[in-house]
Amino acid sequence: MYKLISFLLLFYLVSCTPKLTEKQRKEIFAFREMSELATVEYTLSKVVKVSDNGTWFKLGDRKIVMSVVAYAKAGIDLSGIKDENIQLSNNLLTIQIPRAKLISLNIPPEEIKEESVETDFWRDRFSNEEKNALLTQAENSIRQSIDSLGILATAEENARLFISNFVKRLGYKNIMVSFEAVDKPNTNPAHQ
Amino acid sequence: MKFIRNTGITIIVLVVAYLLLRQLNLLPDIRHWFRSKPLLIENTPVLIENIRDLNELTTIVSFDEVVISKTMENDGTYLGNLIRNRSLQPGIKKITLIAKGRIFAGVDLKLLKENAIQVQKDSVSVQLPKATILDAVVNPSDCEIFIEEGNWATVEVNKLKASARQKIIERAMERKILEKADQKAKAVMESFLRSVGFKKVNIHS
Repeated sequence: MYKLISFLLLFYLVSCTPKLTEKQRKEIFAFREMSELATVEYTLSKVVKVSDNGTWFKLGDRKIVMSVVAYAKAGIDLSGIKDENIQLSNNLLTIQIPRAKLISLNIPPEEIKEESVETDFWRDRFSNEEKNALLTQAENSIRQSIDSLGILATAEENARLFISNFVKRLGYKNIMVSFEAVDKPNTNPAHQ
Repeated sequence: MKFIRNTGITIIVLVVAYLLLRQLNLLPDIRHWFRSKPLLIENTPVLIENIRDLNELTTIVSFDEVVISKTMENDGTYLGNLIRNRSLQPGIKKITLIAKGRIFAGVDLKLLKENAIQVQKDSVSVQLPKATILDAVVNPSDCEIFIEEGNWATVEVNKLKASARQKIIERAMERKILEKADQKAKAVMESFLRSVGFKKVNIHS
């Protein structure tokens, strides 16, 4: 009887031990190859302001002001340049490059500052979970404003300049760098 | 008896009226009455502080996740912490942070020296700079405060996030991210040079 109970207990323990499958391990740590040429970095700042006074059954208010600095890098994906995008005729080298996209958006923790906070007696102070949720909103807001800040246009101009100068160093004199058709999407925020 | 009957009728009328008004969406759902309003940030502008030209070729990005826990003595009095933090151990504060991060590695092509490119007819030789960590990103959306007991200042939490980022960098270095970035940079450069017409390509770093 004791043996049976011991066996069942052992079986239960073994079956309850969490096991990471190879796929799960890969999801946690993974390398991904890329070939992106970042040609510009914008340093951005934003004030994060919240007044928590809208819930009728809570006595008192809470207010917080934080400031964040973000670094947005943009450039072009060199893997998008295929053989058919490069043509040499009559000593003119024509290179068609992909549209610029956001490569990374970095909000370093050191550059997040709590400028002011006010909590009435009856209210709980802002937890760090709440602050993090507010900062996530700020991050999304910065991400959404990338298009309107002209980062992609600057990145494209710099990419054109870099590729022209680089190819000149290879000995070519007449170079024309153009971009893919405008209708192709030029933002890819999925992996940032 | 009359009072009870009248009260009952009044309650029934009120309930029926409420249900009718709910059906017509003229009154909010009673379940929402005691729900806190979501915290939303005010619409403030994004300001451009600086613009810097780059020539960074990113060739590897690593994704990782780390857990950072810290336990410290709480500031303030025992009683104050007991009331404020409603903790069973008011003298102790504890935090557990789960952070996801991305490490971007590659070569800074601004460091290409004047004589780094040697061309001879259809052959080319390029001396690439060594790969470095170009960016280490742990953004607010990548962080989850899993346990928070006691009063943790923003500065303290930011230090924890920074140490999580450092741990992610170290783990990427242990897995030889720079060597991989070097190899890929060579491959990218070779592919580009062949596509612009060079037959013999020699890339070294």
